[in-house]
Amino acid sequence: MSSAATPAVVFGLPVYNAAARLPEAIESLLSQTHAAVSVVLVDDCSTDGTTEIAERYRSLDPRVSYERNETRLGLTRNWRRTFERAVAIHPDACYFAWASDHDVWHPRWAEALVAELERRPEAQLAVPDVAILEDESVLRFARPSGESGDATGSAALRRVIASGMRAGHGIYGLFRIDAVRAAGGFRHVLAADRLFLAEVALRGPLLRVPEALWYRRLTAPFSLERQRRSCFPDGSPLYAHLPWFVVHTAVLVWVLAIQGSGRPHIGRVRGLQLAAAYLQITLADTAARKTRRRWKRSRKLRKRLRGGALRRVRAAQRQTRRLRGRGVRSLARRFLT
Amino acid sequence: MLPLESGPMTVGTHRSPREELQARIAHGRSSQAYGVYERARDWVLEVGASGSGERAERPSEYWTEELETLDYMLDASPLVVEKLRQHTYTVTGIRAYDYRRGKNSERLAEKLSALVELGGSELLVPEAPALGGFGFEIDGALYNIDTLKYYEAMIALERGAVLAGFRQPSRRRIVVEIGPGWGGFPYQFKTLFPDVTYVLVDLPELFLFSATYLQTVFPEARMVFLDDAHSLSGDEWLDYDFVIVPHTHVDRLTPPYLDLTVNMVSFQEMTAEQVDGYVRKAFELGSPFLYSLNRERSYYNEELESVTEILDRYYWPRVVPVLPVAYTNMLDQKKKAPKPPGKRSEKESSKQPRKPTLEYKHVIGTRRVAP
Repeated sequence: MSSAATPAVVFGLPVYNAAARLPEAIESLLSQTHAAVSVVLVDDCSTDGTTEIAERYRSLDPRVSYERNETRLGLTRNWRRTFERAVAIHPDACYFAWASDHDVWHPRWAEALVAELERRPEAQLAVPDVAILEDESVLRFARPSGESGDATGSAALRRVIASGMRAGHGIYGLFRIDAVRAAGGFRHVLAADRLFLAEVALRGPLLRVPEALWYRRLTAPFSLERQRRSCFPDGSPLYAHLPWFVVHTAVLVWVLAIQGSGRPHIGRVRGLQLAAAYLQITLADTAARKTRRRWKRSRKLRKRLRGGALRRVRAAQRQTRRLRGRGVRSLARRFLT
Repeated sequence: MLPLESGPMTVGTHRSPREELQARIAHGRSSQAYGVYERARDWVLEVGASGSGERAERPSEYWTEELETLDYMLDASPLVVEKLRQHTYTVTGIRAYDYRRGKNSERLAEKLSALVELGGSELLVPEAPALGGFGFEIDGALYNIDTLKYYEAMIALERGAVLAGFRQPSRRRIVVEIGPGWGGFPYQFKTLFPDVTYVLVDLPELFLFSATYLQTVFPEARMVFLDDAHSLSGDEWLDYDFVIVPHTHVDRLTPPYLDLTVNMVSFQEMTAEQVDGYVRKAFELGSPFLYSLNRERSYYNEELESVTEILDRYYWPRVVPVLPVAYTNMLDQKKKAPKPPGKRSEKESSKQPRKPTLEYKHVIGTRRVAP
């Protein structure tokens, strides 16, 4: 076991009112078979007992650090702060991962992902397959999370936006700390995970580890309104009401084309092209999803209609049989009398 | 009269049936399997019967009754040892007779192919023909319900990402199985992962089966029996392939580390106190995973409420679904799922609420940090 002062992997755990699931999440991080792991919890002013749980684990295990924000920062800012605090507390760490307060990490998660990133020094991020935790403890093994292999430029964007490696999944992968820094960290926008992953993907390959090493609890479906509330607790700014992909494109134009922060790897003109590609891919993906949703809805409707028509036909058949029976009975009565 | 096997017979000489039998018994007595059996028997007699000892060490009522039917194994003839697998029905409930006619072979083959589709053939180990191994012959290998049960367990362990660690050659791994019965799972595990020290904890009488079987199918394996006079310390554990520990000497279980604890279909038959004792022991020894294939309790076991509830004290239990049917059933024996409340008839709704179902579950527990 290497000392807690020089961990190779640091988990940043932004928490807010998650007392119910937090012990399981923290314990799964502390049970990693990888020798050098630390956990940094940054509490965004929870009011439910999260503090007591975090303090308990801090006293139990020296690898746990806990800090509480003085004022509520909201989701994106707290994620950003969690990364900053994690690398400040563990300056020698090479790898970083955001952890959620209600999911479960398999003990081999860090070991398997570090091995993959060590094998491929040019890769920015490694993501395992996911299993869904249902009914408290039953695992459902989901589809593989995406393709493996290298992808750069707009192909990398397509992988993050339109392929199986969805942002909500990929964001919980294992990053090189330099990759997070180079991508500029979490931006204070809606769907920030998607923009951040796109920025990481532009700088190097994303790896998929084909083993279900992360157990996810699905709480509620994605909702922009809910995200707006949790990202901007003091009221949302005007740009938060614009379509998120427009905001993301504007950020990419600003960062890559105007500031030129992607250089020398990505020049200003190339940056502009990639921003345009981001908008194009996102619009195409959004349209495709809408079509899929509509198709599903219409299929359900067709089924319901078909079911209804069938019920009506059967009812009519029953009625005919009943009437026929009545007719036969009345004939028999007449004959007998 | 059973057919004679090659060995002590002299070609061309005519012998009476009695002489033939005696020759066969004499041959069996000199076999390696019988030698191992004798060693195990002497050790069992030395260690003492299961019924003695503290209350927590005594087997449950069910096993006390079952063990009485195993008395004959303390004085088994070489002919019994020669067909040892066919005498394990007391432990498994599976009889070789059921595999003599092929009427169910198609159903078993169907289940096997469903499992192969799910878990690949890499983890599939058929029944060994040694010591009267039996089963339906599918693609030139023997398969029975037990074979598929262990294969299912392997698939669950693979899906739970437990086996990947065993493929790394970094260090020798140590596995403890509580209640290995006749030794079927240790056989499969050791076949797939030879660089493992496999520790078997069981009622002493059952080692007459498992120790004899394992030493016969792995003649080169190093096996050690622990008791009052014998114990292992530190790295000595890594020198053995199989370590035999009677349930009365669990205090002798002191491996330097532990990688996996396994229990299949015996926690459900124990008392709550015994299950708690074993799970706590696994936790104290630092076992990162505990795999259990059990019902919450056996139908007749009134000394236990819920296996998962006890696991939950020391491990985070997670159910890993494999097939929609229990290991005892074939694919066409699916039980009807209960109707949702809105769709039940009045008669069904007026019935008492259903009792919790006692279905078999593959559960993989990951060790708690703070139980």
